[in-house]
Amino acid sequence: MRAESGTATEVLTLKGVSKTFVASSPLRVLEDIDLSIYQGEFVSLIGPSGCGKSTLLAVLAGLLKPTTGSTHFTDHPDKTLLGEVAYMPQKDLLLPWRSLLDNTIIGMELRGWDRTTSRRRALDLFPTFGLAGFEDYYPANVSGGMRQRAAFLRTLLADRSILLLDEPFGALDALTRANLQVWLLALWESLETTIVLVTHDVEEALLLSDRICVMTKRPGYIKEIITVPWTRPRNFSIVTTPEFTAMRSALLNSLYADSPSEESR
Amino acid sequence: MKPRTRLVDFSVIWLILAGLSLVVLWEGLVFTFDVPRWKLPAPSDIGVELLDSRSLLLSHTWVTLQEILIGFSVALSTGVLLAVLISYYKAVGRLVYPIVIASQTIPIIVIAPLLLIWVGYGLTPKIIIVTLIAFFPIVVNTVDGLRSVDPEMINLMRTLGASRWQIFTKVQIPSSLPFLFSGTKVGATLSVIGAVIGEWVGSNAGLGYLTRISVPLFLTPRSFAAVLILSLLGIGIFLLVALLERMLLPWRHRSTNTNLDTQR
Repeated sequence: MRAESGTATEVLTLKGVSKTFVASSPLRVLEDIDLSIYQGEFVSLIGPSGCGKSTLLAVLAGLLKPTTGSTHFTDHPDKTLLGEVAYMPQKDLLLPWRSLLDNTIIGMELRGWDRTTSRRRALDLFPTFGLAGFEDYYPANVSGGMRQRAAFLRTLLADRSILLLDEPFGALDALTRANLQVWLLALWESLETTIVLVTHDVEEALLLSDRICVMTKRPGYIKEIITVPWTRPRNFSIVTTPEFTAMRSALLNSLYADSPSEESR
Repeated sequence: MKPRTRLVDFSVIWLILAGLSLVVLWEGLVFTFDVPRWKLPAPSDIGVELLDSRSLLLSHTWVTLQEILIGFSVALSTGVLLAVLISYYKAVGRLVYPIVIASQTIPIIVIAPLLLIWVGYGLTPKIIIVTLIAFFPIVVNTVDGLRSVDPEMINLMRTLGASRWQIFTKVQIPSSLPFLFSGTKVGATLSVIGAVIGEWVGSNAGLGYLTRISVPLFLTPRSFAAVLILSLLGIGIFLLVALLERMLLPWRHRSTNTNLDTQR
């Protein structure tokens, strides 16, 4: 097990974070969120749609300022989060005029890296990402799964120690999605990075995470944090164990306790 | 790739067939009803005129082509520059964009004679008219293109540490190019119309001038020949821009050739 809260170093701190959007009438999206994120752990934020989990991730990315409370690096409270935390939205957002290779190096390019060096570095990772041979393809010419992996490689090559993933597999079909989950599981276990994943998929959260934060409907707050017991490295076979099934139904109950008729699966 | 190419070939064949049958029909009708040449010349009459007056037509074509090319180049460069300023600086956008739009509500036909008073006969007033008429679609389309970027894309770039200028040059400008080309294609065809308007209002050379003086002299085949050349100029410039677009934006055209959705 990698990050056991208490023993590991805290890297990111959220204190009393709430967020209210002011449009025609104020909309309270996040309510008093306290969360510590530890070095090298995999945390999932799970909740019904509209619970503000994507908003929370945007706050963590530094794209949104919390209305009250604060989000900061535990060691450097004054350092801005924007540009220091890698963020991967649900859409792949690859630039259509760039080849897959040139899409993945954009983070290095923005920091003024030499193009040849950046490309070489990205090329080394193409086989791991199942993209070998497709370096010069335009995004429009490859499958959705490949685009998503290219987007993930772009996120990784931004060289941040914390990655925020906003439903990265949400737009994919079930089979592609399962493949990518297993692939991400293996990949992440070989990395040193901390991942915060937003998802509404209970199995995805259980399979990948060390801890799962269950959020309530709007205004979203974290009502429960579940520690996932399986040791690393994990593999997909845990999905069929009775413990998994039990945790899955417990999680579902916790998720849909306030609205039993809606969205129950 | 194969079926796509065949489709294009078919459409070209249909185009030629349609054009030819129109010409044959025209020729046949003029012949059958014995229409006098000064009323409606047959395609053959226009062909003969094109050959007989080729040096005259060529010298007037050169004048009009100059007006079009210079005016269009000025329109393109000022249009793109203005679009960049409008979308990069909010204040410029708020001040200048409404003026740009308002300028188009003044009929060009009213401005044209005034230009004669202000800058005289020569090439300059025609170039100004071509520029005025062609730059509007270029500005509007390019501004739309620069503003069309997915806000999530801009957020992503910000999380990667991009500055506003980097977002502008690496995301906004490339994604505006298809829009820029659409505007340029419209502007290119309009620039031919602009040159003709300029010549109609006051000039002593050019294809527009030639059509205008030929009609009262009942030299109808000559005015038809001039119109034909004008139309060919417009089509030529349009195709040139389209070709440039294909060369500069290869990612817009390769996307339909391969579909790898099953491959991973």
